[in-house]
Amino acid sequence: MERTGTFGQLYRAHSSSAFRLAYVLTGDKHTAEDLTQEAFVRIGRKVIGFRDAEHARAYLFRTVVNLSRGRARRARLERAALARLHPQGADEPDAGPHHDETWRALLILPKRQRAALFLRFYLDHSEETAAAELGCSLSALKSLVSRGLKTLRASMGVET
Amino acid sequence: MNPIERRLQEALRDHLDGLEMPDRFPVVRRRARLQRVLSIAGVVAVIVGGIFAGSALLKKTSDVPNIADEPPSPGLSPLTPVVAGEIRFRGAGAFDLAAGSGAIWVATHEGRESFSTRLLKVDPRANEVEETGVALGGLPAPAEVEVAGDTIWIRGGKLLSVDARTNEVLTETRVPGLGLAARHDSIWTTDVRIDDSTGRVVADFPDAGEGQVVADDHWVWITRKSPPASVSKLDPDTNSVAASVTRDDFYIDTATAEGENVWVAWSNRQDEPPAEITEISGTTDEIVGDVVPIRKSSVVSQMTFGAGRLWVVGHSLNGRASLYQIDPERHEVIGEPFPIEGTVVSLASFGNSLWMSDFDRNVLTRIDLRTCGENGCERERKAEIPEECPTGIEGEGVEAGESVPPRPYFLPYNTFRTRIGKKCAMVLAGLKQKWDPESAVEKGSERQGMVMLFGFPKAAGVRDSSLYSPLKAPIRIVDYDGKSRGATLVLQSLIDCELASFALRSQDFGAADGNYSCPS
Repeated sequence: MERTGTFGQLYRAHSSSAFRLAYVLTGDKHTAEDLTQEAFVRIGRKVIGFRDAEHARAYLFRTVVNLSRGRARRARLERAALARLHPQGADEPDAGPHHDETWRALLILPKRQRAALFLRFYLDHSEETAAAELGCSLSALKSLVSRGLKTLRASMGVET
Repeated sequence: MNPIERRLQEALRDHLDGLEMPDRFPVVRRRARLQRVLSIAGVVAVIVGGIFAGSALLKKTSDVPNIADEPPSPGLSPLTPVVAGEIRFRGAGAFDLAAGSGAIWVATHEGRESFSTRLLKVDPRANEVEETGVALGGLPAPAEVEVAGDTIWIRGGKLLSVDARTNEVLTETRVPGLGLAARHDSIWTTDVRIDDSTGRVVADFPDAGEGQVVADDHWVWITRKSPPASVSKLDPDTNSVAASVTRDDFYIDTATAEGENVWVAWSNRQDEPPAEITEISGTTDEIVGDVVPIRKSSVVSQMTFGAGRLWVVGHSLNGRASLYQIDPERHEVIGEPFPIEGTVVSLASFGNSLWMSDFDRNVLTRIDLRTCGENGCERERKAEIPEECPTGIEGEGVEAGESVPPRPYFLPYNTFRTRIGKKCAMVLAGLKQKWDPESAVEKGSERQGMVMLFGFPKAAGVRDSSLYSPLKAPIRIVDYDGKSRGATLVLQSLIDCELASFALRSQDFGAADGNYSCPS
């Protein structure tokens, strides 16, 4: 049995998903990498206490979502500071390929809506699983998805 | 799947498929690599181990003052909170307090006529007060404090944001409206939403209410105090009122948000019946469960959640204040009201403690929320320790799933039992973390690690810390080799993945050597 264990298995199984979720939430690959690493460092302390892999994954995703909030604000402050110091040379955030209208519309949704859409339409998780992963009720999850889709629809001018 | 869902799915696949997390946590093939590392670094290991073991003399966890670790007072009736201490500060009293970012934050004042306030930071582990140097004055007073992540928001005449780690003022602005809530990357008053990074007003809702603003992860709630009193649910996605609940002939005295629901304290001041507390669902926008009457109090001034219960400060007609605890599942007051002195103006929970500030006294009261059961007072244990005591861990890595009761430093990552010499010990190693039972994931010195060794004294029957060694990097245990007079831990840095050895010796049990026994 490989004892590195639970942590190593969790990392191998879900680091890509966590990283992609972080990328959807931050729109920046470097920030997403940092955030994912931080999430794993934090979860590392708890990993032995989880009931099962699903519980651990849900905790990981919630940690990513929670970390992304403070991280986004810090990133904005850092960018503002950089812009003040180097008005010509401030690095633009890596916001990914923005040519896609849907992707662009997705990135301006509130974070929890983005996370809910990611879990439902990219990872194809059930509503119950996605709700557990976001730490909210089923009705709240449905509301997040519905509001996210509604905003996407409006911003892209798609008829219902 | 409708067209928008299909387009969304395609966009997600286009942008995310193939995106892989760089491997910052390489899997260590321990046996082969460890043999190599150990053979090369044997001498270094001994030196490092000696240094680490020597540092045990520098600090023991039992030396760290921590009121939360003191045993509860004996002889308490069930469900009676314990006043754990009073902390004095410079000033005449406090306007407000808030808990977060590892501390209690207090807005003080210099007297009833004073509009100036100072921000204090209280370390809940040591009960020590630190002056942050942040001060402001002017209307609106009283000042209010909110914590969002590692930023403290304090509002007097102006609204300041303060870095919780450095006490540096980050932004300064003026905002209309009353109240203060920090959620959804924003600061909210009863009138406006402010972007927390720029300090700019991004939305206004002047008609939502004039009472109080509270927020949860889903909604922002604004109260209208006077009859017909109402609580309005603001959708942070649209900045508009999505629903309201109104009760004729009632005042709203205070509210607090939890989950996606809001708890509201109502009073009818005409004939002074008991105050009532209701839970309003953020999903259905209706009162859910029973109305909770606060039988001996006609007004509720403060509410907050802590230790799974709703804590309420109620005031009776004769002016006496009491602390009530409400079971939020059953919608019932539990236990007896707990009399409290003074003019409580703010309430916040942090870990197992409830903190109260007094407008007229320069004292913070800390109440221990741990309660006593039929078998006396016993603090909650995180986990039971298995009865067997292994003589060492064989095979690769160590991941015994065991944790210990809260201590000033808490290591849930790698703990295991072993035998060192003739003594039974428990080894903890991992990330150094200041104990914060409420949000253990959020707090602590994340860039540091530590190793601790516990023995089992014969007399007390509880573990006794006998070695504490702080490390420069967060680590995990990747191997363990037990020997008759000592043991070697192999640790991996979670920063650069380097490996190092750590020697545990039977002498590390310290002065009480000889009085230890293995639990049967």
